[in-house]
Amino acid sequence: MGELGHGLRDRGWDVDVVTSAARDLYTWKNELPEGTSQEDGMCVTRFRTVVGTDRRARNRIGNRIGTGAPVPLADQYRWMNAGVRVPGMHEFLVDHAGDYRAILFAPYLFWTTFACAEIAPERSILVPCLHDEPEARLELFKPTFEGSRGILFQTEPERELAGRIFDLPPRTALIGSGVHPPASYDPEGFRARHGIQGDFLLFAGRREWGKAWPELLRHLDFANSHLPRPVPLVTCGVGEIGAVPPNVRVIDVGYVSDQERSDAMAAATVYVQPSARESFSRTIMEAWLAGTPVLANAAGAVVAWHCERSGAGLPYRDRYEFAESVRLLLDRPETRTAMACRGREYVLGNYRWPDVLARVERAIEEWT
Amino acid sequence: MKVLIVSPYPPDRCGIASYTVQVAATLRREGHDVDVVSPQPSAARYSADCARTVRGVLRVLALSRRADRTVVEFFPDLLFRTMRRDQFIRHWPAVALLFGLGRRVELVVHEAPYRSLVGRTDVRGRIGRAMWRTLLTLPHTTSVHTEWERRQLVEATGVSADRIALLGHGASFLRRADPDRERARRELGLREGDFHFLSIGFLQPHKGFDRGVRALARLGAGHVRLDVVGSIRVHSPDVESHVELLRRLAAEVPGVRLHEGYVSDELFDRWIVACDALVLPYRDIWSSGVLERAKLYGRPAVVSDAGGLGDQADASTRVVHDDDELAAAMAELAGVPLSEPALQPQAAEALSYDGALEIVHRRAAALRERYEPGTVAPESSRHGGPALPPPVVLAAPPEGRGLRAQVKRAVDRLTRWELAPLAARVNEIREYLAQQERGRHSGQPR
Repeated sequence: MGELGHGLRDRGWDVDVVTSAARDLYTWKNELPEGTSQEDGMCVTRFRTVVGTDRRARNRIGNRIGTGAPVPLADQYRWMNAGVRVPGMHEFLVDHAGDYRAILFAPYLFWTTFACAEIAPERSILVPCLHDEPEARLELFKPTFEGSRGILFQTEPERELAGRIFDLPPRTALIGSGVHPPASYDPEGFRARHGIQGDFLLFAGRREWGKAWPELLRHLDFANSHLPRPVPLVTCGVGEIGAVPPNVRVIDVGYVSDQERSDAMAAATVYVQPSARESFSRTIMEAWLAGTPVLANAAGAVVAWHCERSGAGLPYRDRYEFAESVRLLLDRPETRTAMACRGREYVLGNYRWPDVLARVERAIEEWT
Repeated sequence: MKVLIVSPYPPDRCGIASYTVQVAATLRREGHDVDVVSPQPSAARYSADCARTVRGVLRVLALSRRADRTVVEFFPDLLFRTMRRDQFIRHWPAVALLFGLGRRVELVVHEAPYRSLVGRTDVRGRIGRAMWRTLLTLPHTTSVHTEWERRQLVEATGVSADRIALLGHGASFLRRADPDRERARRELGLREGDFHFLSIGFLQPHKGFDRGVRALARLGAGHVRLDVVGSIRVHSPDVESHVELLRRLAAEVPGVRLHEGYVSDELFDRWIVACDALVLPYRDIWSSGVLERAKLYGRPAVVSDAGGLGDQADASTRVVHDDDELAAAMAELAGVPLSEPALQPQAAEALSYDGALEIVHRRAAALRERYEPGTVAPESSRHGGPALPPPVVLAAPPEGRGLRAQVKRAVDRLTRWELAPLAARVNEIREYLAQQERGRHSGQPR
């Protein structure tokens, strides 16, 4: 959203940002100063977060939601309001929503979108970042999706999923998401800095159950027990590594800069996207831009769609396909190269920021 | 001036929350510094469970003492968990303390238990009336929206009428939709040239939307339509049965459409803009925000004489006293003649076997949810298929400090990362099997 804001500002729009004073998605501590400031030519207003105290109820209801069990609407509200809230943002929008031609909200799952998008739905445009998860099917979110002025989707599978769950408003558009090609890559530098030699798989992102990290380790354990030579897994990002199976070697380079991540992408033999819950998957775009083919969980409609459209990634449905895909990509460098070329063309042809911004601009102009 | 408002607040969806957000915005526009405290966590700055705990009331009192003015948007559930005598008496002193010691408390009564108090001459009744009367006289001011409500309050509690002020219901209401009727009609798929009546709000028996449908059936013209728009707010057997009735009537009566689903504030207003007139045949109500919104956009309304609706009516509002007058008023507004009654008010068709089963199952599910949350009925073997087990739900570990709770939490931490995906996968398989089973028996392609 930050990139979107900057991009629209550069194209002549007056862009204000209303956000929280938190920096960390996990703690929601108010680390940034509250109030209004000018940042990169945009007026940014930050509001204090309030973290709910009823953790017990939130966990109890959240567990039930996670298993897909039916949850009464009253409990859905309780679950949402027991999480992180930003009352100041709500108040600001009640008073000032009329000052804006359009208000973009993202992503759908956060209280800020849930509570604030309905203040002025006639000018609320949703950027849902929807993926197939039990929460998406909560009745709670129907008003957000069905009452907004319009919805900007990043991929066609995301729009199809939303269409299956909700009665979408008549105004929807496919905008994609923009990726900035780095000025340069330094794969050898990355290897040297981290002492990595030979082939390796890369995973960049949050190491958590929701991103299928444990499943990736299990699949790799199985694959390594069948490959002539085990392949290590390099990872960057946040989250606990957890228990590592015997046949897997994990090299954690921690939280890295954007440039370092780009270098890692270029150095990797294969980039792995095990998560089935992606609304766009910027990391596979970054891998393709860096000239690295992708191995992706076929259960994720979005990443499978990208792989099929681009011809630059192999979707796997189980550990057997995972192992054989790794084997093929390791054994056939020419195949890797061809796939990587197609991937780079796919990203540059579809997901450059100017194209994305033009689609967003068109939607705002037509809908508001 | 620093103003504290005590009220439900968005994202809670109820009429009073919606009313309060507009009051707060209006006060802020007038230059006041406004804080809201809601009974549950919400978009309000503060929350305090003042209906369940004395501590909650005292927290509100502390906030009130820091303000210059305190507005309480009152309905009984806001401050009293139940109206059971023992609980009311136990909680009453705290509420009285708030009303008496709060800073310039302005009580706006949206609902009150008029009927349970009126005519009670026994000792308990007299005590109850005195307690309510005290609550009404302790605040700096007490207001209601209509003259009818003032009369009810005076009659039920014996409070002096001079103590109860009238506060315009729509005084703080803001327009939330573009007033372009053609655009609204286009967006809602309404046909130009038709006369559109609208009944909008939560679908509840006391709203009487079924009366409007029956009245429409008596109008002798094909171009007159009635859109019933709203959603279920609280699932209960009564409400579900009522919505079932609305669905059946909507299917039977030409020109009636039932739009079930969430209605945002803007969509609510857009419907009002799009319609030609509103039909609000409430069986029971205190006062109506819908009628105020209709007036805001200059739309005429046909309303029953329930509660304070008669007092809220303006020159464009037709107040009716029974179903015949309702049909006549709608015919007059639409400029069409009345025909013979097409549907008798008490007409009820026998439910089909499947329809009956569906209602029984739905109601049983609501009861089950109440007593055994998270469980579902075993799959029916009605079609001879195998029964599916209920979904797997991983219980949350206990919160206590005892050794047993600690051990359970430790075990939960050690095993949940493995068990949760397993449970999710089992439930996916279960759902898949259920879908296959349903498809097989309904003859749908898989």
